[in-house]
Amino acid sequence: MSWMGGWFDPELEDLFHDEPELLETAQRVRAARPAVEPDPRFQNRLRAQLVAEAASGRGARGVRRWWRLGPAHFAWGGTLVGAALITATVLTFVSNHTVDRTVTAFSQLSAQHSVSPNQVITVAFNQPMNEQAVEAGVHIQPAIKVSFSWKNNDLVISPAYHLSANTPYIVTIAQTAIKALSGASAAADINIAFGTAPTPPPGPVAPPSLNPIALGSNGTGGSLLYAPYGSLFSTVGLLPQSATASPSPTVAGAPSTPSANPTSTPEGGSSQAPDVPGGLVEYPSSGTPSSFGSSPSAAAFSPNGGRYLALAIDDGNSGSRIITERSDDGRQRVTLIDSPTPVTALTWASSDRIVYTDGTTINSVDVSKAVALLYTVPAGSGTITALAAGGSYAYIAPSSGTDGSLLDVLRGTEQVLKGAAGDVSFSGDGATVAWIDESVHPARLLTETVGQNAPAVLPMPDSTASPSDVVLDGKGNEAAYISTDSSGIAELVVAQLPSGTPLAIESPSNATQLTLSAGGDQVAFISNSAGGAAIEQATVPGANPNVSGPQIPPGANQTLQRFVQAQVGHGGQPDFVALEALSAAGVNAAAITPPDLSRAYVISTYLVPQGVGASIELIVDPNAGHTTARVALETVMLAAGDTGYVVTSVVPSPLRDESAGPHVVQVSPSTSGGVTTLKVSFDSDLNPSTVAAAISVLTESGSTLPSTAVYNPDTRTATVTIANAPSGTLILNIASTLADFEGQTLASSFSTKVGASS
Amino acid sequence: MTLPRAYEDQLVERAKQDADAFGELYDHYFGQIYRFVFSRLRDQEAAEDVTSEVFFKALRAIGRYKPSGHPFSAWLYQISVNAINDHYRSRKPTSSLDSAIAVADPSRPVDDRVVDSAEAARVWAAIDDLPPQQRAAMTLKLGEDLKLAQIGEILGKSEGAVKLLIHRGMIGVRLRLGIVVAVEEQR
Repeated sequence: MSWMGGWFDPELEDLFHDEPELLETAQRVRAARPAVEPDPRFQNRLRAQLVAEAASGRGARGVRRWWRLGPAHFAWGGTLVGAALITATVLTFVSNHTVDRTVTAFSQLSAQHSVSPNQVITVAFNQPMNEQAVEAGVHIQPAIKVSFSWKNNDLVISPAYHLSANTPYIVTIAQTAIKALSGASAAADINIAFGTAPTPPPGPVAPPSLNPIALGSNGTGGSLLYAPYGSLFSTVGLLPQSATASPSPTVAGAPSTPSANPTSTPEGGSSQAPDVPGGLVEYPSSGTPSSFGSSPSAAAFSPNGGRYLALAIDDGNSGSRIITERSDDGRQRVTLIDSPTPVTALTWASSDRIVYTDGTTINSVDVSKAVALLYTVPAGSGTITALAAGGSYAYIAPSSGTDGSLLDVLRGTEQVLKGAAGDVSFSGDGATVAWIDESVHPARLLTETVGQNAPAVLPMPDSTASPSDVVLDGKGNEAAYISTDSSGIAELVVAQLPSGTPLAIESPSNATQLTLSAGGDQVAFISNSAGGAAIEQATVPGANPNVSGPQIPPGANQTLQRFVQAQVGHGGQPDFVALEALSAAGVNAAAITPPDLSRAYVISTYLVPQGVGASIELIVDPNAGHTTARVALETVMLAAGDTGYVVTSVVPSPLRDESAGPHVVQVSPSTSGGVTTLKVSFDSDLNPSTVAAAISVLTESGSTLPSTAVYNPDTRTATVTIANAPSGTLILNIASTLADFEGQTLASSFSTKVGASS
Repeated sequence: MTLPRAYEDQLVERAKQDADAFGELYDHYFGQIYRFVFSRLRDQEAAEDVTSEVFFKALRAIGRYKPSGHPFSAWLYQISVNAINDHYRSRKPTSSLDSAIAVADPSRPVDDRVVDSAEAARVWAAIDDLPPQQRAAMTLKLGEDLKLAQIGEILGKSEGAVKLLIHRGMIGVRLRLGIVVAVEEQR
């Protein structure tokens, strides 16, 4: 059997069976095939032209590349998962039969599936226009404040803040306003429809440094991980001798690998007493490091929160013992299973079930000690080196070469991660994966939503540098990586996803084992120097403050995201197979999913006694038969099943035409210092004076909680602050008096449940 | 990723009348076709021109398309092969065998030279220098990982004929890269 970089072609193997030198050449020719990245602008432009020509019905008649549409017609492109509607790139209006009196308008945003929220809207006319008249006729839905400028015959519409992410827009210029200086006028309105990418707002232009502080010394190898409550843990931490004067009885065994460092202290100074191995060591944000037990080969915090961990420790017999250890209120250690082979990674699939791997197999064990074999890697097919939180996906590193693969554990199917050779990183919710594509030079950083097979290149500040050591935060909103330029100088970069905008750049000493906190507000790493290995941590500028939200189990979040994707499906059809696989018996999600969905997103999630609840917005983009976007609100319930979280209930509202007023896009709760805040994002520029009075927060039993609401026009977000909110589910109400800056009000009062933790 | 055959057939039927469906076909096959065209031309501007030509030809002809038991992509590749040949007929390729061989480092083991990514362009330049049918077969097999039967459908050849084209193409590449000479010398 012939392999080259994971490639094997049985047909060529057969063809060149007796001529191995030809097979060798074939393998090497294939390995040298060029990496091709089409220009997305070309791809989009060509698509628009094709779709418009197809829509005009002239495809078969040989008319190409330029087309005319009748008045008030839209030509719509196909709908993609999470993508926007597309209208004709060129709209031509003929007011009479002379060329001089033909007004042609062209928009660069048309046919764009995923417009950057930072984009300006340009409408190019074919002749000088009555600028004031045209500007007066512009209307944008959702309503956003804009300014106008002209470059020759091009109208440039600049949003005062930015476009909202993941939102369908329609720019309309009234027919009565389309007046050329020549006297030509249009026969119909101009309608430019496009959609925006789910891109977060950009970070600072000149990223600041990180200013890390040393937390302590580290042994050799091991890993760092953040606890949900903010402490940093090292699996091979070292402790100052003073901290071990009265040894903790839980330091059951010292790791064999760490080398005691006689010079490093948490303050980075000198010490007479050498540090000693502390095993799994907790470094609180303030206070003294303390040992949490012997060094594990793998560790993961429970989604239930607190000091509740699953650990894989050496069983003294060449295998691993998987235990759970809780120390919130006295120490409770439970042995779940002895694995005859060393466990290299583990994660919580739900609040009572752990998925683990020894590199060759993936197994699960629950707190009742029931075990199951989930997957076995075929011999010689690579090694499982990482599990996504929730355990639905895993990474299989290749035996040689590049093109490691992403394994869908439940389906047993693999998807190549282009150019992946080393480890990959999953976000804390298991929904995003990042890796280094080493098949090109310089290597590049790719990310994708797991299971979507649509990698995106993460732009780096230095495009000629090589990335390495990538890690993601809890929700895949941030990445940290090492960027090494051609002269070998390495920098640690913390950047936003998917834009790649750097939040901070630092030049630590030989940094390894990068780790981001769940909220992306802290980054930790090991700084290696001649003096030893130091654990360093820094606050990420511009990231969210250190807050905790409701602990939605990663497995539930994964199932929810996949369910929503499956509802949108492809080509207007839900993914029936996926919906069935993700739903509990008796739940026929496909039957009640509205047809022709274009996009969907999760507005809010919350914990319920049976599991997790979520509010979903389902959207059908406009099309030729229905020129208004239609929306439905959906409530989804999930509960832990035998193989992970499944959807137990789906209740969508009927589709209705999207109203002209503002809409709620997302509600994100967080709690810090006893204060709960709800960040409520809107798609429109609001009238600030209507915000506070329209928003109220209730307990689940209906009691109104004292709250304040402050509107930030730059982010279109209202921050609702509730002091001493009870833990659990809250109800956010927004009255229909809330209005955008044009005076359009919420079509009807809005209400959603959100989870809060105190 | 291949579309399920039944779904693809249904989509193609819809694409004869429905712009959205054609757009969906485009979304699915654009990457493959562009990659194939680029592999053959190795020039972005030319690849964009030819890719445009392929999809406009497909749009104009899709009304006459009848499923033949092969994937829709086979039909698109067929159009691509013709469009690329048209392009070559109107414009001479810029790479030459001489330039491919001239820069090879004779002091290194010959097969190792091919591995070096810096030589990737020369390897594919050697493929460009093959006769058109061999070139197409080699590109579809080693650039696109297609099955011999699919390549046969695209080129209008039997599977056996495709094997012959690839066999001859491989020998041609080795000759053009000087590998055969070196192997003979080592023996």
